[in-house]
Formats: sequence, structure tokens, C-alpha cells
Amino acid sequence: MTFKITHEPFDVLTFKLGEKEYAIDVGITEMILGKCKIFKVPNSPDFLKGIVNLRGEIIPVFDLKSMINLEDRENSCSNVIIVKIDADKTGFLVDEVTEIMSIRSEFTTMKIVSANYIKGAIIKQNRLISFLDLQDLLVGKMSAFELGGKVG
Amino acid sequence: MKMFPFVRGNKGNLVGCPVPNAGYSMTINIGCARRSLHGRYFGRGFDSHRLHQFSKGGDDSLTDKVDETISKENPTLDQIRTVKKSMSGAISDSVLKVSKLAIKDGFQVYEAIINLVKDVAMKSARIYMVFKRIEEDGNQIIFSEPSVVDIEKENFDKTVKLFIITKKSTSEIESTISNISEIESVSVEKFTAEGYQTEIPAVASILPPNSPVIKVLLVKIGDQTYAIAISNIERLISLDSQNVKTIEKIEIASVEEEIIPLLDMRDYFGNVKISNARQNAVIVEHESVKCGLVVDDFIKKDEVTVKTLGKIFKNAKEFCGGAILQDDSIALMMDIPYLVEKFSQVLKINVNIGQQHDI
Repeated sequence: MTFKITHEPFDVLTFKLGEKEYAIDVGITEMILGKCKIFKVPNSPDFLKGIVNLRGEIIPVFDLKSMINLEDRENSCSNVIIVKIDADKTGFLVDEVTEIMSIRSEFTTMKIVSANYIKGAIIKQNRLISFLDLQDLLVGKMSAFELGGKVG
Repeated sequence: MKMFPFVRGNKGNLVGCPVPNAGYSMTINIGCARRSLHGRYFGRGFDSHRLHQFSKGGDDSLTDKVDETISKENPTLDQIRTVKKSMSGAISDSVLKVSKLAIKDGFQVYEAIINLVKDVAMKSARIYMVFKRIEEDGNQIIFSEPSVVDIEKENFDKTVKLFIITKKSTSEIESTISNISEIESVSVEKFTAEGYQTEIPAVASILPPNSPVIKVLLVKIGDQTYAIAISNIERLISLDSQNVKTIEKIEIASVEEEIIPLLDMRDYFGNVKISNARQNAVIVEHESVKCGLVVDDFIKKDEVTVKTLGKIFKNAKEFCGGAILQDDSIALMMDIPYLVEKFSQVLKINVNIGQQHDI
């Protein structure tokens, strides 16, 4: 694990998965949906929750808890964060969206070999918030699934 | 015609012939894992559905064809499917991945082109000997063109291409093959896995944003609604469970003196099978092949707009898109040509496995 303190200001969207708090770059966030009907797609990986109809557009929704192997899998997810990854809209199921936060000196970059999708940590008002790179997480999970599922 | 006991992957293509010392089983079950000479490469998941043909290069033309299709204002599913079919020269993603893994682990991957002498008798037997000799020698065949089904039926002229994983040199492989009689010529070239097309994505992932309105039948499977294009439906039937028989793990139904194999979509989609005496089946047809898709219920006919499922679902080949219904819910649109083709491959494997016992 390596650390580097940064002072570049930026905004993040924070949300909860169980008791833990996470953040993503607000720049990639398109919108936040409340409770919505998710339609399952058979034979897809566990972490791919299904699809939603977003004003006539079909968007895949991923179960973020399952993707980062959180033990707390209680089905209390109430929000879907829609982000844009490589020009495609993608949804991530979270327990609760908390706030948009401006970050200055509170951010420390991190590299964790076993969880390379965690890019840093934010420490603010006694809160420890992990900063996620959703694109890295998604690419890693999908590649592992395709390789495991096909060549297994 | 005598069939030779080639062993296929779980979806119907080749992946070797039964060599006693290599640990293959003559009574291999569909979808079971196989032990291979080199361990990890040949598990159950070998996706071979579209491995019948392949070609080198042409990446640009492949991309152009897809772009050309999806840029049309309202292409139909059939038009997209036609373009996909014409692109069937693409090599499977799985073969590429396996090849890359093998190369990374210090193996060589060779592409061998074998020409039999003109008018040779029992071409299938000759190629069977090639397979046997190559694998007896400690090498592994991962892909063939034509497919083993076509080789068995002698549906080829005199040329066969093989992909071989080995630690031997090209000349050693050439010599192994050319020592078999009735072989006119052999060329063995190193395969680098570079410059090859990857597998064609599922129709659902390349549908254009402005997709056509399609007449569908909505059906219930488990707790979800699915759509089947009316154009693929031959008829709807309700079956009494007494009329459904099982042969070689395949359920069949007798409908007006016709025997129709049944594919239980409740099992296929991983839903809990509802135990009821009555079964509903949608008889679908593609290129003169019929099969019955067993569902929980018929809902209604409808006209729907089919939307792309996007890149994430490029391997969800059972679906050709998502239908947006009037209540804003989504019904996954079944890709009937794919399902019929895949199911008929399973049937062929079952029949051929049955025949192997008699050899």
C-alpha cells in the first residue's frame, strides 16, 4: 500500500454501503434514481443485478456490495447511481446516497494491490470515506467473469 | 456411414478426439468438465458456438459492416442477423484467450492446414487419424475448421485447418501429420493471436438506438416477462405432462404426428420450475428446425420497440434486445435463431454420444 497526500480540490458524491462510506468523482455522475424496478437478465454474473428502463433507454445495474465483496449483503439498497463510463450509462446499486462534498486537503491517494479500484481515502469530520474508481472496478470484474466463465 | 468418435466441446465444436492415455471419456456428458493434457485450458466453458469458420485479418471490414448496419435508420433484427452471419469469419474470443494463455505459459500455438489427396476414400477416418496421432504425441487440438460435426459427415472438400497447442516445433508437427498416408500436403504456421478478429457480439449489444417496432408474444417465465417475435412462432400449444417423454435427457412432445424437442426455458434461465401438470410451449422455427420453448404462461400479443442491451451484455446471446412495454417495464427479447441453433447442436451431441456406445 502506498500513500500520497494531494491538495487539488475536487467534488465527490458520497454514499453508504452498509455501515461503510464511499465516494466517487461527481464528474462522472449522471443522475440518482430512487427505488426502481430492476429486471433480471438470466445467466449473468451475480454482481450484475439486471437492467432498468431509464426514459426508454436500457441501462445495466450492478450490485456494488457484491462487486466489492462486502459481507453485509442485506437487501436495503434504495438508490441507483447512474454514471457514464466510456460513454455508456451504467447504474450502481447503493444503500443510500449521502451528499456531494468538496474535497481539498482531506484526500490521500492510496494504492492497494488487492483492491486496485480504491484510489484513495477521505478523512473528514471523523469520517473515513474510501474513494472508488468505478471504471477500474467494472472492467476488472467483467474481465474476470468472462475469462472464468468461458475458459474456466 | 460410420461415425468416428470425435469428442466435442459442450456446445458442439471440436476439441479433440478420445485418446485413452489423455484421460478423455468415451461417454462424456454434455457440459461436463474434461481433463486435458495441459490441464487448465479445456474446461467446460469452451464457447464454440460460432467457431465453425474463421479467417485472418479483416478487422476493419468487420467493424465497417457493423457500423454500416447500425447507422441505418431502422434496420430490422433480421438485417442485423444477416450481417452477423456474413461476419462469421471471426475467430472466437475464447480461442484467442486460450491461445494467449498458452503462449504466455511457454507453449506454441500452430495453425495447421492439411490437404488430403484427391478423391481419398473415408476422409473422416483419415482426419480422425490425424487427430489421434497429434494428441497421442502429447499435443492438444483446440479448434478445427470445418467443425467435427462436418468432418464426421464428410462435409468438406479435402482441406482441414487445426489449431494445435504444443511444445514441439513446426517441423515436428508437420512430420507427425505427413507420416499419415493419403495426406497430400501439410503446412504448419505459428499462430501469434495478433491481428485476428474477435468473436461477434450478441445482436442485443449492437442494436441501433432507433430500433424497429416488432410484433411479439409476451410470455411469463418465473417472475419475469419475455418477448418472442411473432415471425419466429409456428404455434402455441398446451401439453399434458403424459404426452411429454424424455429421451437422452431431452424432453420431446408429440404434436399432431410431429415429434418436437422441448427446451424448458424455466430451467435454462435458472428459474424454479413450477410443478404443474399443464405445460405451455411456444413452438418456434428457424431454418426448418423446430423446437418447443416451455414457458409458464402466455400473456398477450403486443407491438414493442426493441432497444439495445448495450456492450455489457455482449455475451448474452440468448437475447436480441430488450422490449419496452406500455407500463414501462422491460421484457427481454429472445433470440430465437440463436436458441434453435444452440439447442439443435445439443441434440446432435446427444445423438452422437449415443452412437459412440455402438462403435
